[in-house]
Amino acid sequence: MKKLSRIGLKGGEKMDKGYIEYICSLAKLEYDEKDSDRIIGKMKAFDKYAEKLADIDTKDIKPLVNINETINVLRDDVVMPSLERNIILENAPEKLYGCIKVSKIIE
Amino acid sequence: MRYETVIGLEVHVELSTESKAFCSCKNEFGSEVNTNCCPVCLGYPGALPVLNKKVVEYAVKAGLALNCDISLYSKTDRKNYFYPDLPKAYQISQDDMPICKNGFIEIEAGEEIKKIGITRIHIEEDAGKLLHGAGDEDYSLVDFNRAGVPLIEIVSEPDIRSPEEARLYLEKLKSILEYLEISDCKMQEGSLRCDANISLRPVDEEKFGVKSEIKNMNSMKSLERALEFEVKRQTELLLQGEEVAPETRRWDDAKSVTIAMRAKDKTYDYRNFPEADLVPIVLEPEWIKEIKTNLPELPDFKRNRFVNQYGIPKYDASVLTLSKDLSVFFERCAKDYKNPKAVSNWIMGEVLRILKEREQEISDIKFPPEYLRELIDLIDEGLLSSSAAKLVFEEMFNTGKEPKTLLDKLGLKQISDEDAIVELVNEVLANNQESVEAYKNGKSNALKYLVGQAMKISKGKANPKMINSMLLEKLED
Amino acid sequence: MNLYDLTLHEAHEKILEKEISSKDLLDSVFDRIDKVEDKVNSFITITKEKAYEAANEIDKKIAQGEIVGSLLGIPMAVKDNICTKDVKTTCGSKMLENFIPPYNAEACERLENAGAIMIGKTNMDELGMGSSTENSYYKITKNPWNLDMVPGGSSGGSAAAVAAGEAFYALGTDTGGSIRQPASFCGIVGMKPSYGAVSRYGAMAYASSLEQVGVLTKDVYDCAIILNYLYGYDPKDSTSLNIPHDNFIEGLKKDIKGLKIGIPKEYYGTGIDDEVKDSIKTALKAFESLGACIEETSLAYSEYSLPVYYIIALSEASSNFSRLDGVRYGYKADGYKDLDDMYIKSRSLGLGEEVKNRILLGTHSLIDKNYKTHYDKAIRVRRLIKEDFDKTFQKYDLLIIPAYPTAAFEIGGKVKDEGAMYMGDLCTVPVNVAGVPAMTVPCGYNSNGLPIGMQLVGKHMGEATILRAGYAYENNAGFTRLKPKL
Repeated sequence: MKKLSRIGLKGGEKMDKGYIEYICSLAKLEYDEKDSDRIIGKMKAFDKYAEKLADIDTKDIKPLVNINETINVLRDDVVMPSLERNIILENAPEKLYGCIKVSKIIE
Repeated sequence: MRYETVIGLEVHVELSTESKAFCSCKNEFGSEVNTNCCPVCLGYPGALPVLNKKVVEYAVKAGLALNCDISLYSKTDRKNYFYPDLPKAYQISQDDMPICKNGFIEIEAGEEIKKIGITRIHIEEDAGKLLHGAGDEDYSLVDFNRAGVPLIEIVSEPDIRSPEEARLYLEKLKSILEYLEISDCKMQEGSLRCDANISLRPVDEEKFGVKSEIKNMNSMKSLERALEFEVKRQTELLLQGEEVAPETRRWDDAKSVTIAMRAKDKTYDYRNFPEADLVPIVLEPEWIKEIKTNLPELPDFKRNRFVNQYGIPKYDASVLTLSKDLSVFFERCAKDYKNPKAVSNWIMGEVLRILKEREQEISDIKFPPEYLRELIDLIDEGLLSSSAAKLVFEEMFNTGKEPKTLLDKLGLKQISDEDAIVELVNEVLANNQESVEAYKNGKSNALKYLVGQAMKISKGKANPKMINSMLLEKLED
Repeated sequence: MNLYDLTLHEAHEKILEKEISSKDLLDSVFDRIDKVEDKVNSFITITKEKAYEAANEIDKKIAQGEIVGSLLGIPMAVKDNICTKDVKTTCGSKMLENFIPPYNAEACERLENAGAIMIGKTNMDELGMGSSTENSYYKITKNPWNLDMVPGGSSGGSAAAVAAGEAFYALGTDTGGSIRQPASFCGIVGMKPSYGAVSRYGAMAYASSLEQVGVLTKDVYDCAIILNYLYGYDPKDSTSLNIPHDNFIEGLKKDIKGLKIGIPKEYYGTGIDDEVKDSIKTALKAFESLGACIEETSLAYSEYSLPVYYIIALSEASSNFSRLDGVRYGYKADGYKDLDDMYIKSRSLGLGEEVKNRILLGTHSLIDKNYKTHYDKAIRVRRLIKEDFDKTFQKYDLLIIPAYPTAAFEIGGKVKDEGAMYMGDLCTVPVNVAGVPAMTVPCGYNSNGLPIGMQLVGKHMGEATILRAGYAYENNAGFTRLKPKL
């Protein structure tokens, strides 16, 4: 079986500060340059997990997401009561006119 | 250099189920903000989705009507991104195993019938609605009523070659979905939304050009206009030797232009992976067969049947079957009636005109289809002139009352009684000797004048045909 | 004897006999809390008033002879990542500091309907990420056996509360050992059900395909009682199983003659404390004397469970935690300049370091170019691991492995030995990957007086066998259970 070299780093992409910044932006977490080396270390260690799995031939093995392989859990198209709006708004950090309020979005 | 237009359409259709896709909140347009929400569709901690059976059924119906292969095994996946209208910060959708694939729609582009391929149909949930503050109000507001509403996304192959074809495709698609009664397909309310991918390439070139994604086309007309604009815009760029930027553009209906939005982040990584809170959908072939057998008659089939059964021209049949409600209305008038063509003319004429004028739907019509038959009969029997009929029709539309009643009420009953006509003609002849002389001297226009006089005296109620023929008769004596 | 020291079933007996009231139990428990909570720090929230209100209602019923169910009137604690209606649910995070769910988790609902009285929400590693409860935003829970030691995690608060007599039992969640390891460290019983057996509705999701809501109890009998209420299909959870389950009380006391117990060798390597090995050896002798057959076996794919676990868990967590964005609920930062800034600031300030690290790893795992080699690969190898367990359970009724390589470690100490850390994960995560049930049962104390636990692992929906074996051991092993000296 063809062994995948440099798991997670295909096509000359480097796991560098730029990459960490990119992952932070996807995860909406603050990127701090000071942390990037530490995080790179963790990611490299994490990729070793994938490297270990690469040893196993899974060509003919189907994915297993739900361990019980349950299928067809469906519900009838029936309406049930929703939450009262005032309860929804109680937990909202910012609200206005019955809606949840956020920064202005420019499309 | 001549360029060929290549268009693909992505249509999102809100399904008209009672409850949402993954929770039991009401699926209703126009409710007061944030009154149809629960922990599931708000993405609260620990809340879990449960798939609505009807959503699967409607998706399969759509797939069958659009000639697709129905996947016996399909699953849901998460599409991850952050946006205030997306409660879980991921959308439950279908990525690599959609419920339907490889279908097509037929459109009539001129004389030829063209097949537009449908790549796939998949199930997903809608996001909430954003309302933006006006002017210098620096906030946006989120209404989550729409979050979790079930959608099917229908993706066409890039087989469309002109803005007109695009409109024909969308019209046919909308019509089919309406017939299936799985969505109310109201573009203006957002239950049918269309985005287009459009690119140009030199004629005979196989490689696709760079495409722009066009959004915010809220009607059939703006779809066509936006794409026409794009063809022009992209052609101009290419002819000047410039490149088309791969971007998302917004159609501005008022300004009649497309405007670049953010640079299309083609590389946004949605990190699709299987939705582990839901389980796969495995369909039984027998169940699919049952649905197929019970599909309602679809537009194309109905159109052909109208041509054969009612002897009306193909064009008329096409117009009448574009909307299910319209086709039902027509058929209720025309079935077992001696003059379906007249019904067709009235519907395509006065009925559609008045609905457009008043911005109303077939379902808003107050009178039953049978009254239209009655109206046509009255004209045939000579009791109503065609111009008077138009007035009676309008009143019928406004009040829903029977034509016979309105005829008398409005005093529009046409005089077709032979004696009355004779009396009228005699009166006219007696009082218009000069015209009589003029006619006898070869001035045929004088007849028209005499008819006009008869109509004037009778206040428009006389049957003009009868007046005409009787005058002629008497003048020829 | 103090009332708070009773087991659930003992308290139930006394209630049946009308010897005590629910209020009596609450008095005892809150008295105990007053005495020890400052030292142990099990709770984030204590719901004293609500508890007494509930007890009042229940005592009226008891007085009228309406004693329905074995949980009636008995105080329980709930891990703070399980939503409790109208009671703050923080998941040990600043992000959910003020979140008050308007709904009850199904597990809580079932127990409360059976008369359980919740007395408080227990401390935990933030959002379930950790194995010591040192990662809580709020406080550090101490091990009642030695206040310098961790109680384990992430259900550390629940384990400590039960061990310290602050609650008769507690609900927890277990994604990769978070019930079983703290139960072991605190010398109590901890059960992670088969995947799909107990509804996950209302428990803040960490890894959707790996975790279950479970229970920490004083003994095996108590565990069996509670499982009867927890198990069963919930239409609100699409992954919950719609099959009948055993009555866990019936057959609990049957003997274990002929029970075939497998000892997978991969779980006893270097890294496992000698004292732990010895305790388990002694326990195995006890099982033999009760008629069970012990045999060494092998779970060949065990070493792959860790990569599979980490890739699946962190990938799923990175997605599950994205809903914590400060928009509809939770912590929202001040002074942000735009939408993006709001997201970044709120999440970065609201979430702890460990959680953020794991979210980044999970995000990295799921990006397009890594999908095939990471998540997709992991879920395929997962099938092999499950099949490995299935094959083994064709030969054996039960497997016994250590609950953890060591007893509780020092607060701030972190497990220093890499081998032990690896073995720590190995002991617990394969069970989650395979979706099988497992229960920690105390089986000894180390030379420092700290509890040691063994893990009874059963086949999927094989809880009845686990409980029967556990019960037999508990009542016949000649092993004396101690109580922490608080």
